[in-house]
Amino acid sequence: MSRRGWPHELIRASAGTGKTFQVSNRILGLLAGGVEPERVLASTFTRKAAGEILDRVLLRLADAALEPTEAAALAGHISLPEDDAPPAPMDAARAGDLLKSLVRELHRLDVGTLDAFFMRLARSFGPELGLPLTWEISETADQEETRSEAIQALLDDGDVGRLVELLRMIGRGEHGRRVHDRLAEDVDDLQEVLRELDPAATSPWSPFSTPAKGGDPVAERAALAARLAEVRPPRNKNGSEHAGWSSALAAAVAAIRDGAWEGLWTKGFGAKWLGGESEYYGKPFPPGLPVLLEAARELSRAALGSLYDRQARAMGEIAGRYDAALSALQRRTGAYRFADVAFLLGGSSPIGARPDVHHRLDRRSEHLLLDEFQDTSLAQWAALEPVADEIAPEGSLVVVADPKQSIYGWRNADPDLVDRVERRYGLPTRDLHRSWRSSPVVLGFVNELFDDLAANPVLAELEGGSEVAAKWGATFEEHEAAPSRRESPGHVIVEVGPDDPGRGTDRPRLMARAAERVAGLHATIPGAEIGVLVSQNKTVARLIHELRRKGVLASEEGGTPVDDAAPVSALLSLLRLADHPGDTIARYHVAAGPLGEVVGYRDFRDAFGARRLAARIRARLLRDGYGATLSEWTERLAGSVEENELRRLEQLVELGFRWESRATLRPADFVRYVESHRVEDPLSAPVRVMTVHQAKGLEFDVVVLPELDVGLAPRGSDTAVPERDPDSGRIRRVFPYVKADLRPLFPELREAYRQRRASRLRDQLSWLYVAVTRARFELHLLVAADEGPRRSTAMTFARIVRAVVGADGAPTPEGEILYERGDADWFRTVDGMSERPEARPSAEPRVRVDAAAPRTRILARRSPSELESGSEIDLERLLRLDTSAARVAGTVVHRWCEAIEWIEDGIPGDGALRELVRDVAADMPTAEVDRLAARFRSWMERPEVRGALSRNAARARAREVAGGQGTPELHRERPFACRLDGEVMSGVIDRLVLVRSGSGSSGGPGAGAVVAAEVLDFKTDELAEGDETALAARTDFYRPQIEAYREAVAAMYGLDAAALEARLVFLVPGAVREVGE
Amino acid sequence: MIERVFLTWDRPALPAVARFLAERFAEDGALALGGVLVALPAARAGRRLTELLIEEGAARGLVLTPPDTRTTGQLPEWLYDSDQLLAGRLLARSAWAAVLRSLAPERRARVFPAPPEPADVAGWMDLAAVVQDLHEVTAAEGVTFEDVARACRRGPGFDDSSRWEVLADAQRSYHRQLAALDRVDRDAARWLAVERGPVESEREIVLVGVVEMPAVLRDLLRRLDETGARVTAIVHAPPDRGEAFDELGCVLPEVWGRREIDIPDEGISVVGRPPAQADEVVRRLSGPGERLGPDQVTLGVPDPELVPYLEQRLRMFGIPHRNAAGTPIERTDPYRLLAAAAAYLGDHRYPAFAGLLRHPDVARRLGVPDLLERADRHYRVHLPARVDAGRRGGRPAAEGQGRIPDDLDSLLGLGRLRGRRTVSEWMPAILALLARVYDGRVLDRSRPGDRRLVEACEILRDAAAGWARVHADLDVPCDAPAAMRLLLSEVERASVPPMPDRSAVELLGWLELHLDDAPALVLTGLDESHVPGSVNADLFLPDALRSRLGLVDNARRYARDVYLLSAMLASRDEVHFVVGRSTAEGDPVRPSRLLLATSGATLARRVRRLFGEPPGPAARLPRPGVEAAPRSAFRAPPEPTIRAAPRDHLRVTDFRLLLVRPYQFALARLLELEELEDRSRELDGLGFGTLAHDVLHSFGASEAARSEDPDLVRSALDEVLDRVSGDRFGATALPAVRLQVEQLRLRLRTFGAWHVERVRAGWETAAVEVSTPGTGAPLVVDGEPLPITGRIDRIDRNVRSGEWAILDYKTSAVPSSPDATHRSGRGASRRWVDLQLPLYRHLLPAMVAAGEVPAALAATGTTVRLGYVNVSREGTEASMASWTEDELASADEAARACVRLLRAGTFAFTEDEPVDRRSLFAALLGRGRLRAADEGDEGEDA
Repeated sequence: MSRRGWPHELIRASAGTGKTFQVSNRILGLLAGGVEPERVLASTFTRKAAGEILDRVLLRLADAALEPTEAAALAGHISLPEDDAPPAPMDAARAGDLLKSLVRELHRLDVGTLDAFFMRLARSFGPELGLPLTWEISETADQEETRSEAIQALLDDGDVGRLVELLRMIGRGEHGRRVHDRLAEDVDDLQEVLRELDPAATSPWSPFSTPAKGGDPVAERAALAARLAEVRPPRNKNGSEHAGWSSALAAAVAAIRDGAWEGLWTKGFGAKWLGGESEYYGKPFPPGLPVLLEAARELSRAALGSLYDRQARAMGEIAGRYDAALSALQRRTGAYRFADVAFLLGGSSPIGARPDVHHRLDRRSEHLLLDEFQDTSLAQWAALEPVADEIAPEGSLVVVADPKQSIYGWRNADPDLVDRVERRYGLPTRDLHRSWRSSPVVLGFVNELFDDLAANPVLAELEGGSEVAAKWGATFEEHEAAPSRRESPGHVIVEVGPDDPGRGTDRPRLMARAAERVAGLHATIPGAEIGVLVSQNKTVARLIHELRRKGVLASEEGGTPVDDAAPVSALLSLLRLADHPGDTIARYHVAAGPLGEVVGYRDFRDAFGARRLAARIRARLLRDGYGATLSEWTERLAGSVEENELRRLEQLVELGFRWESRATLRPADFVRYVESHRVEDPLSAPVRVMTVHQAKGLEFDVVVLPELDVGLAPRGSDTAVPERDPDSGRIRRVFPYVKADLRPLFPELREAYRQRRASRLRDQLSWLYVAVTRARFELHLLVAADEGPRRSTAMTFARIVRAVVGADGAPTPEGEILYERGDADWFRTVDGMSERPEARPSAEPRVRVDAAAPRTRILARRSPSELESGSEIDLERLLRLDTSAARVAGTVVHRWCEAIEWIEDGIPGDGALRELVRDVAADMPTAEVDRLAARFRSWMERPEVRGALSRNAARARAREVAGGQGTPELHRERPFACRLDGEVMSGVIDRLVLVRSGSGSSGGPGAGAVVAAEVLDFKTDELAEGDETALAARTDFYRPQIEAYREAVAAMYGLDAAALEARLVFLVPGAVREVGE
Repeated sequence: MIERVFLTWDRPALPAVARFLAERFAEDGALALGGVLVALPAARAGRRLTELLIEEGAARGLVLTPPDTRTTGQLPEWLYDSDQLLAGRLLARSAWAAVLRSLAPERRARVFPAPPEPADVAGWMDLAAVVQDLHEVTAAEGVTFEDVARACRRGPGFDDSSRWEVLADAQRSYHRQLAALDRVDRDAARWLAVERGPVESEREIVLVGVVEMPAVLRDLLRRLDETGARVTAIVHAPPDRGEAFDELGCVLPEVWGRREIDIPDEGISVVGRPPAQADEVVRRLSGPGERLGPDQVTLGVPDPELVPYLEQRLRMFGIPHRNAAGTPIERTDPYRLLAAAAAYLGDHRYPAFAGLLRHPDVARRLGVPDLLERADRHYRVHLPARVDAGRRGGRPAAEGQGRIPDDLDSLLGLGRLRGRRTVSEWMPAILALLARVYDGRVLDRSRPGDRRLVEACEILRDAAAGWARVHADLDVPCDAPAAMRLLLSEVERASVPPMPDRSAVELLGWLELHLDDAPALVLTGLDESHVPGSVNADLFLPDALRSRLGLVDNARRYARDVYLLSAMLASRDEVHFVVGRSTAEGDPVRPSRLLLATSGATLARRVRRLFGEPPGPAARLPRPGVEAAPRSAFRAPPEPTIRAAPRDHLRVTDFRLLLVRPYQFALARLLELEELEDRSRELDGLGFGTLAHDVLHSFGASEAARSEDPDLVRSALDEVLDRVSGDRFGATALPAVRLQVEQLRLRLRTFGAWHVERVRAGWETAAVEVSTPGTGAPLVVDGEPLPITGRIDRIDRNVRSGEWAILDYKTSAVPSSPDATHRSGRGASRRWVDLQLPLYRHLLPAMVAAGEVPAALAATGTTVRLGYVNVSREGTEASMASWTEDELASADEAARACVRLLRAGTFAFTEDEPVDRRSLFAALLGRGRLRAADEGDEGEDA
């Protein structure tokens, strides 16, 4: 119990027992108890689950606000601290108030994933974490690229000889070909090990205590071999020497002499002896042999131990080098993975322990809710622990977990954290075993399967199996159906399908049977959601293929890359072609199919056409973007593809949109992005096929488990086998992989390998548990036939199941039903099972927007200045910085011109000119200003210029055009805006002289209508005085601009063309040119 | 005098504003607004107001002098004169960079524990940008970094003053730095103007729809008021809402923050992911109701990520549209060109080089038709890591490197971008690079593509001009890529506006919607992360601290947005809300709190709608003219049957494919399809095998091959390996290749030892790398000969036994036996899957005839054994076949069947034909979906 009165709690919630409901209860309780939303920090495993929690909180309040019965129910589910009287009893009104205050502060309620929380922390402490200023979480495809670059940096840095040696060591002494690709498989795992090392561990990468040997190993081996050569093989009954023994002895002599220790201990009597046996070929070991083998063991321990130690050190060195290379690269590129962020946060001085955490996060969390805690990794916990430590004494901690559902060991989830957290904070525990999901029949099977797991004979056969099963089983309590499910019908069946002898992990016949069963179930129960859960990714693809062939619409949870559709695959080839026009496979793929028609490429041998097409596509992708380009191709292909292909194409278009923000110049990069991206089919297909990992958090009416015949023992050879501290979970020592036969030589390996086996088996038991607890009504298990003389003794899930249903050890021929409970016709009593609701496509909409309607607003805009010279652009000139300087000078001169009213009144003094520059070109150096000012003054002396600016001249012209009554009215820098031909013409006229028919000034007494006008435009082109050709050319150049001014003035004042004059004032050569119509 | 004018909000704001201005300023046949400065929140509204004023003027017969329209951000500089020159943003940022560099490292570490490397010019500018942003946010509200430090010391919660004190020092240095350059910070100048006293303006100021403004603008306007200048704040709200706005017409957060928004439920649709949102937008634009011109509808899109989806759907349905935000400059050709060039010049790594080559404008400029094929082929053979090692004084670049890098350098003048200069000196050179690439292009601004190019170039040029003018004291030396990156980061937020002359539905961002006046508005993407867009956690200024300092905070943003949405709802004929519940990635989205600004049962029902059962996949909107076919025209493979003219010969290595994968034989050998790419980061099995074969052949032909001296053999192999690999890879190869060469060296050691043993056992190498002469050796099938060609790696003769051996080198990881490679299946079903070794027998006569091999080989009675020399990762060993004559005869029969198949010329793909998931043809054969994480065996053979 925390000091604020809210109890801590560890909720161990079995499958289907309503975790989301529990978490939402606590949040609602806190809110009802007056806790501000920003004091609550809740996290769960996925963003989707986080969204569901928040939705649930809001909806329950909304329901309670609208319906008193819901309010009463809500009141029954939430609990408040006993000594804390609630602000008001929970009723509809109170729920409404709570809802209102919650939505007002919705941005302060933190319900998200741990990763999201870590991101926020890291963004607030980037510099302290050594993160660059801009960084982000990179996409899978980019992560591969980053890894590759880091490996290259690693390989590029250092002595080649040393690197070759390191590679040989992690390659177990062999001269493989692969270097980069080999490292790519291992480095991330090695880095993970490096990060999980116990800081207190001394030389974790040198795990073997090799005895110091002073002698000469070659001589010692020779001596021992000689002694062994003297051992006589046992005799046959007829007195002859046993041939098998003889050759085994000879082989052993050679092995010892050559130091070929593996040969000694993996074959013959050596293997038997090491395995604790004392007979070979049914004959007891000759006297004296065990002593020699003992000596051989010591020699081989020294030799192999030293080799393994070097291998482990090589792994450590590679891990360190990779870690350094990757960190440097990440700092440069800002591309991180979530795991990196968690690791940085939980580093040697965890960010969560800093005193300014609340300050920068802008919240002080007092109540921490951690859902799906069994999936938390050590690194995540290291980052989170200080936060929990801070909250625990005063606030509340609620941890919701089910270690039985921990199947993410391979992603470093550590379910032991649940116990550790329970102990650390003394969390009171509540166990939930009442399922709101499954029918009693299904639960009955679950109970049979797991109730006495430790006693399962199959597990007992497995090394360490009973121990793991006992520990796992201790967390299992009998599941019961919630009241609302107690009457629910159900059906469980364990059926024997065909065997696929010799096919390894591929079981085509069994999977074909599974597809048949699924198709049958779907046909019988069309309204049921069917989940087909398997263990391997490749099986998902195979099953979907099989199901589709049977006409069953099946989709893959989490999706597959969209290139499973032929047209998408062709489009990707087109993009590959755009990147590599010489790739004839891509060319053929495009040209030979319907796409060739669309893009105009029909002959894959046409290299020239391919290059042209490639260039065109790359330009197009750059101009219009991937999404728009793909969208257009999709539309053009639409008539040639089926409905489901069209959907996939549309998803490809979407990927194009998403790619755009980080598009590169390489179409091939996009292809890789597409290939690495799983996209779910947007239709919710009635049958969904997925791995059990993807099924986590989901439930189905019917669950089919066809892939139970997979092995339980650890497969393959991990590069590193760590040994962890049982209390902290941190790694104490790291061993290289050692063949099973040789392990007995090294007792120090025992614990690491025990842990490896145990964690794998624990994950597998959880896998099985998750698999069988997804079903609401029906569970259909399919196991392979197992009969005949070569019956399988491999440890599989299927055997565990067989043992439970009493069929282990007996032949199980195809077609046999090993177990059946409940009612196969259960669906007849369940609503909605007999029909599948079809989404009815809506009619094609007729849009209300009339594309042809004339435009009335946001008109096109033009300004005369952009019309100079028409629309042709000289880019080379545009890109010169001196034009930019000239433009600045031009602006200054215009500003000065504006300051002159009539030339007769004079030109502003130097000081005033300088002052004017400040407005438009503040940073123009003074000397330059002075130089320009001097030139400006000289220009103003030119007769033609003076004439253009002369009041007297203007008056004379005014009188002339207005019959003696005209008055000139001067406007400088006259802004205008008017509508011309459906466009807005706007701009500023340098100098506009209006002629009014009266004698007064504008607006004043006597001022008449505007009867004529003169437009003057100043130009600062550097032209030579008297160069008439150049002047004429420039005048033509500016003509469109000046004509636009004329038109605008004519429109504004309703003047005829004849009443308008327009002149260009070329200041540099001192020339004024009339621009006539 | 500051006057508030309330224009009722039952109509859009701007037409009413135009009317108001026309009424106030009409005089003597003129609507003379030349003396008026209208400030609006965004530029677009200013343009629209001008349009409306033209209409008003025309309707009233008045000659319009348009007002000066400015955004509120530009307004302050029109209200005061500074004694000192203002520092531009770039200069200011450079000054910040200089100041941050000069801070004492231990003090700086309090704020930035890991600063950029000293030479990382762009890194320092980025850091400066962070501090500059902080400075601008605070200074606009009259808060100095010292004030922040003080507030931290005084305030509740964590005392963050130690960081802010360092920043305060930096801020003081910054001001001093600018003063030394004869410049002043813009905000400092503004506040100085406020402090100096009353501000004068010749113009009348009209604020339109300005509902929030920074303190400095507020105070300047108040100072203006003191001189009696006329300031009119036009508020788009009913007059009776006066209490909800301050004297400048800005929203009062405490009032608007509590207001409810009346959104009719029927106006809201809740849908799923962006495609569904785009569909729903189209639906909302459909159905009954009067026809609308495109400019009568506006789409509000606060989340820019939705734009492409909307554009796509609108285009499909023939609705003209235009995204007012334009194209980000990052997506224009010149920007990408400079970015690619900077990457290439930065480290000359092959990937950057390959990227630059693929820029359409570079490729066009280079004018080499087979540019990319050449580059790809070069990569495949030589696996270069970098492309310019030749210039660096190392070993010369590998032969065949080609002239591409040189062409690039000379045509684009990249050579001029080497060395170190100051940033300002680099700018003309960078622009010149653009000019060279686009040299000779005639551009027309009225064409959309050209316009985009021209405008992007203008943006870059203007930014470059800014850098070129940067004060000498701040002009730091750097290399060209750094200068390019500085230029690019300077413009990265710029965008090229869309073509102006399209009648279209406009897509507008949130802040532009209020003053837009289309009668119909469809709002989508109204989610909590975009509107009101709260800032909670922050590196420097978390919300609580912002509130304490009086800076713009979440409450102010929320209140402003409540007002904006209320005004939109009140003034439009139609407002539709399309609420999406998921992102493109499928993650949940929280709808904006604005949609929940209500209470009671309405709120509860709204919550049920917005957060209830997430919308299922909506029925897809049928696309006009886009209909799927009942049966796909796509096939995998695209041509299920290949008919090809028969080849006039077969290689012994062709039979393996012909026997097991005849369709793939047709693809590979008849159509001669090959993959060409540049993804490998090391030698693949084929490349490794080729290298090994080349070394072994060269060694086999050498004198050393006869030696029994292990040291001599070993050094000979080393020497050959060095020569062959040196020729192929030079000094530029990928790092993994260097190591692979060393791995091969270790394998060759085992080969050397094996070879010496063999020589000692009496074997001598009679021939190496023998090819069939001329057209090959005939294999007679059905009376017709078909030439078979091949190359034998090695022929050995035992001088003691007289025995002959034909040997094929194998470099797979794991040793293989000839029989296991050549035959598959058990018992009666055992069959030939490869015929390479048995067919060698048929090549011998032709080789003998051509004098390539000793005649004894083909003589009757000679024992010729066939086998492999496995140079595997486990060591070297020979593995010989022991086929009987009958078995060999059956091999010949299998070969004849192959020839018949070839002659038939028809290759049909069947489901039974095995396809390796990693096969180059996998995509073509429709096995893309079977791509799995299987780890392949290492090593294949040449």
